[in-house]
Amino acid sequence: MTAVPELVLAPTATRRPSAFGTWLRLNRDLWIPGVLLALVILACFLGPLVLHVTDPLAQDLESVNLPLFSPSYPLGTDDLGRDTLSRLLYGGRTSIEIALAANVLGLFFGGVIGIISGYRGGLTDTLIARGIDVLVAFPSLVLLLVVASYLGPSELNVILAIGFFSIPAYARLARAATMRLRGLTYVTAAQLGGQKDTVVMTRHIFPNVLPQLLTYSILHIGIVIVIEASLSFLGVGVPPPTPSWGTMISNGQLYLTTNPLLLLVPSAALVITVLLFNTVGDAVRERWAKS
Amino acid sequence: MATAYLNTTAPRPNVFVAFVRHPVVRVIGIRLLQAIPILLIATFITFALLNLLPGSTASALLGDGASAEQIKALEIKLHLDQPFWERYWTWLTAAFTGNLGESLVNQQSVTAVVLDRLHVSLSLIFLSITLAVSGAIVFATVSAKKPGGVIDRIFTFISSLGQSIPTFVFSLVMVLVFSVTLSLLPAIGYVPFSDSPIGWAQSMILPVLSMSFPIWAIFCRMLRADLIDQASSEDYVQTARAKGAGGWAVLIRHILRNSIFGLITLVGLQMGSLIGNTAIVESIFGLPGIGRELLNAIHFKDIPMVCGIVVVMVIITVLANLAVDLLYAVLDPRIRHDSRS
Amino acid sequence: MNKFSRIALGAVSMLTAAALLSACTQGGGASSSSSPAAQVAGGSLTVVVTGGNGTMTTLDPIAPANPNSDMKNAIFGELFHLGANAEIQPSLATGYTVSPDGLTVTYKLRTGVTFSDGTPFNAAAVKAAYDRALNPANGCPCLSTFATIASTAAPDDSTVVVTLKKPSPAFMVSISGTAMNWIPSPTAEAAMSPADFGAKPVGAGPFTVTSFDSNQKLVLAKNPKYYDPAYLDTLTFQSIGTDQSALASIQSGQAQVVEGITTFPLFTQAKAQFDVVPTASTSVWLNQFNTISGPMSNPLARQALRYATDAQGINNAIFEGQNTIANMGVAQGLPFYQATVPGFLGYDLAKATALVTQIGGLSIEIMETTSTVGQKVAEALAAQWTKAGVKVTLVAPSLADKQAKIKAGSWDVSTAFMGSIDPAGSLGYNSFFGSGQPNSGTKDATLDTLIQSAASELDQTKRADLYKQVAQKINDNSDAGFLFSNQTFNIVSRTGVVNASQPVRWMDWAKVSVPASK
Repeated sequence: MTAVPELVLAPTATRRPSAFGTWLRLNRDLWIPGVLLALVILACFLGPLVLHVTDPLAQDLESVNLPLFSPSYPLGTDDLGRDTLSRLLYGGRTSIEIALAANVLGLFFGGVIGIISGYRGGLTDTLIARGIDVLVAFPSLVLLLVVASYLGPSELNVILAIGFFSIPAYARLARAATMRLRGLTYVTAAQLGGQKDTVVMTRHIFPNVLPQLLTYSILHIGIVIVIEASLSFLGVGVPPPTPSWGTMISNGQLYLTTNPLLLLVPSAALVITVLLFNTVGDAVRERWAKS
Repeated sequence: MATAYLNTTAPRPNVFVAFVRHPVVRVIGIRLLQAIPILLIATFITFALLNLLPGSTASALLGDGASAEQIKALEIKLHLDQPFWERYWTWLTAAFTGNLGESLVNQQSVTAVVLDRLHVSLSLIFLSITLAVSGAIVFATVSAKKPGGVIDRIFTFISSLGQSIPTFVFSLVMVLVFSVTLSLLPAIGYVPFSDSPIGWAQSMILPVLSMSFPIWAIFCRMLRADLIDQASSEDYVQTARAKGAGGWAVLIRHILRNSIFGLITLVGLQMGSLIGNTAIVESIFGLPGIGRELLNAIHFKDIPMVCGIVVVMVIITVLANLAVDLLYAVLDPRIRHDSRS
Repeated sequence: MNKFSRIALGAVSMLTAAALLSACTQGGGASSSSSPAAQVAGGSLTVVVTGGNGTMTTLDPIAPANPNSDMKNAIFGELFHLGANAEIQPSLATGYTVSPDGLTVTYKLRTGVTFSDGTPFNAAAVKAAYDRALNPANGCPCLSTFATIASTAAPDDSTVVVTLKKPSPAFMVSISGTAMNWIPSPTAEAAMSPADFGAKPVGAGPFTVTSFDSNQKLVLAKNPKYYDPAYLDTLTFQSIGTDQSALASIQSGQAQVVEGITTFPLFTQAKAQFDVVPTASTSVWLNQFNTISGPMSNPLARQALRYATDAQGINNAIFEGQNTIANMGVAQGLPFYQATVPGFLGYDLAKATALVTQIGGLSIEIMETTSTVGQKVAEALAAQWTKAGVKVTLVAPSLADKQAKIKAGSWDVSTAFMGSIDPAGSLGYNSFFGSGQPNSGTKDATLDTLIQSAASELDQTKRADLYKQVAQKINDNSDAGFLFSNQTFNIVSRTGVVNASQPVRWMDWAKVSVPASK
């Protein structure tokens, strides 16, 4: 780790560093975790195509609970003789899909509600703000459990349930940001220029609120993946046999002492991914705070 | 602060009016009044959602072998044959008098069951928040002293672990280490404080640790980021430094004092998910709290019990947020009580 | 002795029962508690109950949501005790007779017994309990099984006469584990509110209720007035939400017995330290098919799935090979069980694949039970059937949802377990294969007649033959594919508890003690 930067720095010291080189050096906190994160996501979405892993659902009941580095099963097999590596990659796909989709849902609806609330003010704002209060005060677990058991467990319903539960946080964030923007000169100018409210909100407010919401969503992704795991534990998560990191962790805890690998492998993947998302999120947030 | 307000009531014509006009009292009053519509909507949503669920309490209770007539008979006994609005109205009117209804499963009074179990969940929540907040303050301050240093890196890693390990996994690992392997603490069960304070403490340690680890992680990350932001940008920090104040002194006396506000807000926002987590932790450790009761009640579609617990959970959240607002006011006299963001 | 009456008094001893099921020493190696240690009175025991067994909502014997039978046996005692092999043994009742026409059953009660509130345990109390349980307004789940009871009478203090609407050979075996076997004090029942009675009922069993927190904890104390006093002074049941923490509680020494673990991998782990004791099985796993509508109405599709099912493979992978392959809907060890039934189809992937190709492909949905182990079985089945070219999706509906789907006919395959102590019981053949029954996907008049005549046949040999025919008919028509027995296990400490490692139907807590040193 220490040797590498010196090797890179030595030649550049003689020449003028290129603009890209400077950017790289100044933004190491952003691009290193960013590239790693992209690798994780690529591995999950393209890995199965490139690596020729076995079907994540195919079982070999003769070879259950194989250890690491078993022939043809580099990460071993689970309790039903399924390839852990394959399940990890496909499971990551499911978990990341859920995390992204739930965030998009929350960001979109929360953002729209928050912007309208903050922009309009008055009665609309009061009503929306109190509505958000209800959602925040309402024990989210009840909502998730009831919604998930009403809709029946499926990947889509997990997304809907978590997405719905993410709305209040985005709405509050968007509302506060909009209220700050509303007083700024360019918004007032647009209003005085006779632009319609919808135009002001979409053209002037939304683009300026979005970066903040996006930053929050990067940090929120990790939380969503963990919630997905908890839902699996309570029996209302992604239904089997579809692999997801949450279902793998919730299944792995049954084997905590007999075959800890089944818990460790997906947990490690989850921890690394959340760590990367957090680091990237932090880096983005810092830049956002400075600008 | 209190004395300042006392002085304004100098002629003391009417103590009551002065009391009502007192800003703190007004804030409390407004907040409590606002809680009423929140409670109404929350219970209605719960009632309606549970009503939408397929199947009835009767079929959940009677199990596999029940015939249609048997299910019908039990539904009549439990008044489930009445229309939805009628049942909700009956429940609601009784709820206003403090009677949250009768469990459909064992006919016990919901109010009695909830009151009986509440202290367990409340102490779990209170202790977890206290531990998480104090832990976060210590760890974040040490981290922020030298951002990017070895200690900061280690703490950042631990807090990322806290955020990404699901509570149920962390609890089981704790049990495995402290109960099974080291035999230091009980794996399950609850000892009431009145029976044995030491037993109570022992039975609460692992659940509280499990509950507080993830929120500690969130608090820690947020507080650290805020401390570093302020240390690098705020003018008053530069001024304090210029005056010759030492690193620790500035960090603790000036920056931390300011950052506490963000932390308190975060505590209020985390209440919802914290209350949800009690269900998981109480199930794993066998604690007789309302969270676990809620899981059971949802399983049996015991609508009065679910609604009763939701009411209590909403009240807890509203009160916690009220406490956050008041704490804000106490810590920072600049903030006016009536100017809600 | 009356030539026409059959007297069943302690006909089968406990020893025979133990010997018959001695295959249970899967506990692995020597277990200190199985040696006949001297039992001493006193001490306390903690039992952790988990999973479905952990549900203890109310102690009222007629309440629909019950705790485990062993808890109610401890509180109310039993009229008749059912041994591990379904032999009827006297307890609070000393014996029974059945009239030749099979329509009248007469119990003789033990005399001089009182409820723990001091009121007499007599025939009037039994009649009151029966009338209460059979009142449809009270919603007792026992109603479906005991709808055959026409009336109950108490001619004298120690005689109860139960009159049946039609001969019911299953009657005496079926009362065990139901409100027909648990008699509460009618005085207490009348004086208390339903909630209070559900929390602190009064019985005549070996223990009395000290405290009860629904779904949390039940503390029992010895009833010194019981005719055969228990050893233990205190017996505590602690309910827990997850199997892992239940095991942790016995590993850390907080509990001595764990009941209701269904996560099989934990047994492997438990065997090293504890006795893993099977409780007598009453049910078998099966794949039930919707023979009335949808893709499974094609008999070839049903055969294909049966050929594609490797039951032994699933048994080995998920149940560590502990279950017995089943050919019929009666569990091993019960009357009318037969190890092999004609028409049973074994695993044959080639035949399955050929059949699927022949019918031009097959796409089905499996309804699984919501338990962890049920999900695993369904997952394994799905993978096996996929190998044969079947397109499989899994759904896990709630019980109510499942019955709604069956009623609407919108289902293909249901993987579940069926079976009662007697095949005519509530989860027996009629419920799963009778036309229009809540769990049935079959509409077959011949099968209905067979099931009905088996249920009312008084001659045991003829009855056994009829049940064999029922199973054969189901196999021949592929109404279902039977998989293996559904076994539950208790985990028992080897040093902390005495006489809890024998196979039993339900744990008899009056017979269990703790070592003298404790």
